[in-house]
Amino acid sequence: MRGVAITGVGIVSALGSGVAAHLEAMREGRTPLGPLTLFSPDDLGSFPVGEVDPALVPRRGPRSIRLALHAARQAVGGRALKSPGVLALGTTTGGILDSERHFLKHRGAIGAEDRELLLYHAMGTVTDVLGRALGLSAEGHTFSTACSSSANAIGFGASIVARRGGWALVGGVDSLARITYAGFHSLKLLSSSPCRPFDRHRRGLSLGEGAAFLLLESEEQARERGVPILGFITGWGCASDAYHPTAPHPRGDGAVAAIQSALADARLRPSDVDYVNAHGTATPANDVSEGLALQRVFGDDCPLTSSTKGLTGHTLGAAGAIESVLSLIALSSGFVPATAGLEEPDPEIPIRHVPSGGLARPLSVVVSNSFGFGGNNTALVLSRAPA
Amino acid sequence: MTPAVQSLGVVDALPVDPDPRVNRLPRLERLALGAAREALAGQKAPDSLGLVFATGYGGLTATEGFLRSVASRGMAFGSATAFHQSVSHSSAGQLSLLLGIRGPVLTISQRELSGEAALRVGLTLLDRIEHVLVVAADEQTSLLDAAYEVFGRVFRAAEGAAAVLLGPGPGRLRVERCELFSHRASVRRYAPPARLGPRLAESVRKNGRNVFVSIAAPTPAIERAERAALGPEARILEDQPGTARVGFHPSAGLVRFVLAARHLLATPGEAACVLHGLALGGGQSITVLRHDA
Repeated sequence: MRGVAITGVGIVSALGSGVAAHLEAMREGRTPLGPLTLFSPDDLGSFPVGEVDPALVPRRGPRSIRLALHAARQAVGGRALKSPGVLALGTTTGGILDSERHFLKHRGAIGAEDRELLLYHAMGTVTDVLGRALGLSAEGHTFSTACSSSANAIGFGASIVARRGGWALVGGVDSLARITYAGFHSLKLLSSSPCRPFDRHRRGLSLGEGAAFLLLESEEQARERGVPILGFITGWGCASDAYHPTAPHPRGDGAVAAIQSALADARLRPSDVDYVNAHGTATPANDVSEGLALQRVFGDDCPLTSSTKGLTGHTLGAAGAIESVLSLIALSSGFVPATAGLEEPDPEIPIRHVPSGGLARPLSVVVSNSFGFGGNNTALVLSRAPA
Repeated sequence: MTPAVQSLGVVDALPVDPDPRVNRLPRLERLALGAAREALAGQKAPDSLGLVFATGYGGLTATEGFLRSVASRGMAFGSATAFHQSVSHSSAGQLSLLLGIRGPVLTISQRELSGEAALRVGLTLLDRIEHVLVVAADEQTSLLDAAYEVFGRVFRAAEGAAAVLLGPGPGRLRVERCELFSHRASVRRYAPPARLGPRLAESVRKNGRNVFVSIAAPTPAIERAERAALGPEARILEDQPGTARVGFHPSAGLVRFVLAARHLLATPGEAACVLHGLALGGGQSITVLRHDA
């Protein structure tokens, strides 16, 4: 994939709002994971989560839409996108935080009362409302491939820009919700302490929430407009495990195929990659499978690798977009974040960890991995803008 | 290369499978699998195959079941099975597993244009992979019916599934155009007739003679607007590919596409079909299916 320039970025997560806040938090290795306050966990007890500060995004109104708008407005940056383009968004929960409130209050009965809570249940409403609020003339696409949703939205939008030029606003959002909190608990995948990706003593994931968006334009259009190019999307690979409804392939077959496909799309060799922003959820199965996949792709010369989920929590459908923006921040700042929470690396995971405290190092090419339920594996390649 | 429609499948009632494991799958997955298997027509899936799955609401039965158990017993008592079946991508994952699809597997959810949006994404993926199976499925639940009733915006709610295998042309039919548009409308309304009418009329006019139209007709009022935009000369298929028969649901656009394709195949004198799609929130789609030269 050639000529897909990133000309705008927006992000909001438990780390804060905007690129500067996220770079600062990455440098500090700050871990904001803490007790859940957005709703009551009732009998379930409190597992640490990455909540967005209510001072940034008020809790009234449909939360996914609020989060998405917050990040998308940063990415667009007040520019008028008058020509038709593409709006591609990834989400797994859409507006379910509100519709589950309705369900729990009325026990599944639907009448006139509180019906506004149901308005945003369909995931596509987030895309519709976002497009309307930003005044976009865009074909809308809502990807819902579990935890790789927004990575696929980015890859799809980039491939449209590569093919026909123009612009695409791509990204993703997910808010914390009862269904995911109780659901991951039911699968015994929630960690009772802040998550520790790739650590020998990891006990599962910590949920998070947030949104991130990238404004993509053809390089030619961006140069004509004279806007700064922040980086490039150069590769998208997606492959299925066809192995199990929820568990990853134990040797990472689909992940290997996705990373190789993304590198082929970028016309790069494995040795060209400087840093891998891993999916790294801190579940026992994911981290081993991903480690083996990275070894199969990169051999003994694995690039520097870290997971940023110890910083943000696992933001599910938003993770691919949030981690793409964190990867872009690493590319543009030359600061490689360490894996927050990693203390004793698991010897069964054969990767080259970023040293504790992070590393100052110029990067040219980053691979960002996102994997999801149903055996979905997605990899994106981001490349640095020319100096 | 113009993408060709290679085969088709459609399901409007829950199929019974000789394999008991398949019959234990959730309703949505059985609908989707039935359509996908029909499109693959008993052949082995092609080696270079991707899947784009469309659904507006995913596994609603599982979502309701999970929330019901949380509501009645507490947050600690949600079912793990219901949770993973409530994830929209669960059906696509199951299809990839059962059909052995290891290429790109995506799930698209674009309200009542989910089927059309998946077709659009599938056509794009043909740049990357030789064949793409596009499957759309939505299940009807009493809760969804009640929600549609409360909002009062649907002609006849229904459920169903359809599948289309796309591949390199030439074939007997080709997808000449598949475009999505958005108009300003509230989340609970369709685009105003003044907005949707001109694009619909222009798409039919541009395709010349021997063209028939499948209108979206989600409500009587919108149906009147579509007919008014098309004028008395337009040939609207009233039976097979119409909403009156297939009902209205997020996957209905792909169901109508398959029925229109079958009508074209059975009627060599017809040149093309224009399919019009509409969604709450202001979405509109135009798809043109034509006999390949």
